[in-house]
Amino acid sequence: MNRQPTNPYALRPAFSDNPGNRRKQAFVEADQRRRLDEIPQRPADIPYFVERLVNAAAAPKRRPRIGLLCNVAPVEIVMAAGADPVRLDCGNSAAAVAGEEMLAGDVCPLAKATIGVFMREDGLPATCDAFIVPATCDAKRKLGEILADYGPVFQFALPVDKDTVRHSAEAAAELRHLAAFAGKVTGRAPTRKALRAAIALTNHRSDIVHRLQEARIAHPGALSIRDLFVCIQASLFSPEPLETWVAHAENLVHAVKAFTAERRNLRRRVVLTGAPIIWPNFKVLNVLEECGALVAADTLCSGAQACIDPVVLAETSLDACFRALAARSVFGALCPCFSSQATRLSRVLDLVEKTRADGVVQYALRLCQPFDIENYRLERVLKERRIPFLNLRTDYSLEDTEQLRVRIEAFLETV
Amino acid sequence: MITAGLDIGSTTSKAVLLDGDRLLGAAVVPNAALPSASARLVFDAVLDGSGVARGAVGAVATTGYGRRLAGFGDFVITEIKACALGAVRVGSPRGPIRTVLDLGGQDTKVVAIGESGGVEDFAMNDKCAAGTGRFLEMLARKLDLPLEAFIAAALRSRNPIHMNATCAVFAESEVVSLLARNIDKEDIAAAAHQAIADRIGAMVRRVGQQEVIAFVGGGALNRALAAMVEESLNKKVHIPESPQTLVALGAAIAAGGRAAEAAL
Amino acid sequence: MDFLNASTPVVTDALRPLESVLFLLGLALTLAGCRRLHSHVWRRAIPAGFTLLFYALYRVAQHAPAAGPWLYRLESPLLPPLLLLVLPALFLPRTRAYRLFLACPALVLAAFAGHVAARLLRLPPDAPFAGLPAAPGMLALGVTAALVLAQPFLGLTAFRRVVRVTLFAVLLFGGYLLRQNAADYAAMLARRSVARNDIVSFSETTPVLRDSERLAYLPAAPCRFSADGGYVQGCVMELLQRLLQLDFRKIAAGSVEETALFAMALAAIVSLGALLFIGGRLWCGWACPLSTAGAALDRIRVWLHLPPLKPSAALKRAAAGSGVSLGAFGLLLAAAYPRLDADGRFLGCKIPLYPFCKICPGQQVCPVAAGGPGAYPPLPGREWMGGFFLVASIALGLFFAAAFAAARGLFCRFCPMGLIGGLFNRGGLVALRKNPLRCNGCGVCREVCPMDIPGVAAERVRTDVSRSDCVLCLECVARCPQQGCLSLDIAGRTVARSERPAAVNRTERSAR
Repeated sequence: MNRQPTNPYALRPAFSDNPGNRRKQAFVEADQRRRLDEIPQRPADIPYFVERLVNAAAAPKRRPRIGLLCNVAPVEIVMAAGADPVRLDCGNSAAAVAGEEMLAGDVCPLAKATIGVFMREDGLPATCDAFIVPATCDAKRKLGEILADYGPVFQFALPVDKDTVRHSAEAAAELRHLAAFAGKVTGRAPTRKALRAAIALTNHRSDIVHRLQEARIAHPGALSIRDLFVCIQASLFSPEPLETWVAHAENLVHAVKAFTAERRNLRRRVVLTGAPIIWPNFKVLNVLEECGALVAADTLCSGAQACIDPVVLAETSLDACFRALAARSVFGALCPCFSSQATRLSRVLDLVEKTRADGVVQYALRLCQPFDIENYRLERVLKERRIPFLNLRTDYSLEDTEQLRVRIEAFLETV
Repeated sequence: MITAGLDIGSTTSKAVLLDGDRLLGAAVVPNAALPSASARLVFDAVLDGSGVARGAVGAVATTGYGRRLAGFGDFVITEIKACALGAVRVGSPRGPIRTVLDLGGQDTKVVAIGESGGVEDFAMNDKCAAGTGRFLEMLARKLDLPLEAFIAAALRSRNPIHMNATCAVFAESEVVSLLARNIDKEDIAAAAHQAIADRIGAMVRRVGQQEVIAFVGGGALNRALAAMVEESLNKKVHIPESPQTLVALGAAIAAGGRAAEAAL
Repeated sequence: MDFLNASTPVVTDALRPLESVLFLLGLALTLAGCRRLHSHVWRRAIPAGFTLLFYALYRVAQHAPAAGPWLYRLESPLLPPLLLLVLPALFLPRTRAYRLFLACPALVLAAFAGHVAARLLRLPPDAPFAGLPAAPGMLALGVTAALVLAQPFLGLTAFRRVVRVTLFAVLLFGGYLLRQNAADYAAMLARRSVARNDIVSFSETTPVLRDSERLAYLPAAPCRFSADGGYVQGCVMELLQRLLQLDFRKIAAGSVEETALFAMALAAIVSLGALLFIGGRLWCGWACPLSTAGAALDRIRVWLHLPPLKPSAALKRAAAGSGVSLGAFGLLLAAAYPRLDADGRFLGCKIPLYPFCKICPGQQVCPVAAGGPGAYPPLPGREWMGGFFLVASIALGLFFAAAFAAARGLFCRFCPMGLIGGLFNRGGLVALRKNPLRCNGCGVCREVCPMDIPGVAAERVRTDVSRSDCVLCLECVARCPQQGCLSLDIAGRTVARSERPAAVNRTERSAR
């Protein structure tokens, strides 16, 4: 049914045997872990999330595993097909260097790092049975063809804008095809009941993340933004079952809610927007928190925005499930791959209001064209409304940490 | 209260002693191996030069790339804020300074100052040598001229040419090829200055070029560059009396402000 | 309260209209609307106009007693207590103080229970409405109090379901609410059995209005074909037909009977107009018995796990177009009624009374809903305008069933009463509001909308997303996952607002 034409130019999958690079990758992760350990006053459940995230590649494989390369692909479909979903985006700067063997220089660092991790025989992608690569941006679109050398890949198109009248049917149809693909991989097509059960589980996660965000908006000091990201990414980037994550996350929510600030918090609050910040690429978060800023809320697809929106199921049919998933995952995304950024701008302005933030910081990944070009409008709109704005254009490498620090310090001094 | 501002930069360190509105002394020293040593050196230099005792200094603020590595000091402030504070204090005959262009040895900053004297926006070029003082130093060496002679040569040029290279490393090879074609050293020097002036002009335009525009930092002492920047921006720029120590002055002002706050 | 007494001083004379509950309601809404200045000025002008209209009408009634009586018949002693129950329930914020207010409906409900118990235990045979378990006024109060008490415990969707079912029962079976006593009711039933079912005689549908002895109750607007004859005033179409079917020549000639009928029709239209101004198409989404009956068909589709049909823009336009044209045609035929010849023909065509009602699906649905399949009325014969009424009747009946079974709100796009009500959605007191900053474009509001309206999701700039095809079912408000994005405003005050799915348990339950 969903037969993709076989590629007449398929190549043997490339693997890397660079021990120096492997050491560097391990060092980058260890360095980031060390910095996490320096965070004061962490809730008791955090070590579970750190372990789950860091040891994702070593998780035992109980069921078929399908790797995803974006937040736009709904994990519920994979779960309903009886597979474990796991996101394969990588944030390791050394992996980006490894990836440069295949993708020459001026390409998105996320794409390079992802390829870099695919090139490891002991990496997480090597344990996956299939890959889902939504064609969000140019890099992901072309990456799909490269990754097809490593395993079966399913790519699906995203509508060009958020006009639901024109595109909601197409988006739901693409998700149907996705479900058929997942069913072929696992041998178990997603049924209505299985989808609804998966949706109930992810809605529970969405509720937890929402409560965490609300608690942090009230007291940003209750949980470091890095710990929040670790917690959220531990559910997205690890193939372990979501149920265990939910149990621990509920404890975390209680701990965070119970936090009372010792004294009135005078640190500057900022809203973070921009490109995904993926473990272990927490460079910007490190510097922000070390300079004393409190990241009160974020719109990142690797942070709260990744799973804060629930799936709204008002009808019982299978078609309704796909439409609801399309509404949440595709049309609810704040990704710059859509032609209009109005919804992302609205969310930033709304969060600034809600958190009474002192300014907005954008993490613009160097060589990411959509974010670069969107900066034009974001900057001017924020300026019109007199909201201080700082744009950080940087890639994965850690060499410009001090340069970032100067800019962030100057920004915090002036807001 | 007597306050001191230390600007520990990449090539030189600067210090300023301030007593309220009165400037007591200023010093510029080339850097030692470690920032802490440079800080000590420049601080001692300014104290000696002004005759003020160490204990008489109420508060010390450090700024610049080595601000946290000085080993002493009461407050730390970024050079962007210090730049704005210094520019607001110094002012210009034509009116308040609203844009500051700071051309340093290893970085270039443009700071836009708002009506209330605060930093409205800023841009930094600190990842790439093109557009910094280092660019000119490298090309001067390539032409086998000391920096002063390099600048004088640029001023004497009569036949402007254009350099294509935007990268300092590529510029070096381009200079070699220009020499091979028997282009005058003066014209090459002028072209190098023009290349920087264009980059700087673009940076100032991005941040906003509200008058009065002030040109500070080590690079402001370069008259050829100043002239070309004016031409690129199509506006006159103001070079304060002591452009190299403006940032240190700002730090000294900040030290006074912070000490007053802490006293409350 | 003797309005006919003209010997009063000028000031108290001018203040007499304060006795009118409807006038006071308009005044209150005007003041409430003026406080919220973000509403469009048109929306604030509506209640002001409404107030002035009632003031003017009362002053007219004071000074021209002959034209007066029909106006007073709009009033009901039931209005003040009902408003005291409903208005606070709508507008009071849900703070702890609200629980204090809930004591009022609780007391009313207790009084109602006592009333019913008293009637069952000790029933004097000559008491008004002796054959019925509750006096109609008490029944209306009791039902309203129960709904107000239930609201805080139910989500918006569940509450709407309860209200719709309750009003369905009241409107279809509660016709006796408006009879004076049981004898009157029995007499009406007796008359009904001899009346021909395809033409209900005009006098049978006479509303019971107030005069010095008889009390009237709420104006209601069900379909006139409720089986137990519980009909007071019909829908907008019925009233318009009634107006057009009057013989204005007789009125000009001074016929008392015709003038009285004219007055009644006018009174009914004014009160219905007031309802529409206040509620827009709220009637459609919360009270219409056709819609509730259709919802039963919709539930069959849901139970079968079938997706709904999303009508194309062309189909939507066709439905609205047919509604307008058939409605207009029916009104035209009604206007021809006074000119019928002795044979009942106009230009050779046999035209019935209430021509639109003849083809409206309500004529088929309401009796069946109230009385079971046996109560299905006989279809019009082929002699009525060469079979047009027969064909249209069948076609619309099938369209009704098919539209509600498969396409959710498609029939509501056709309904002429809805189309007229839709005009008030943007000009009345009700507004559907959106905070565009909170919207992320997910389109869930369009997915759940029975009318398949895309405009709410697409709006990024304005805060008012009211539309004339919106039936104010508030599904979008109930389902929008962004806190505070969509809300319903009445007279400028927010009455319902979109909330994040509150507890995980509820989400899990709804996912089963």
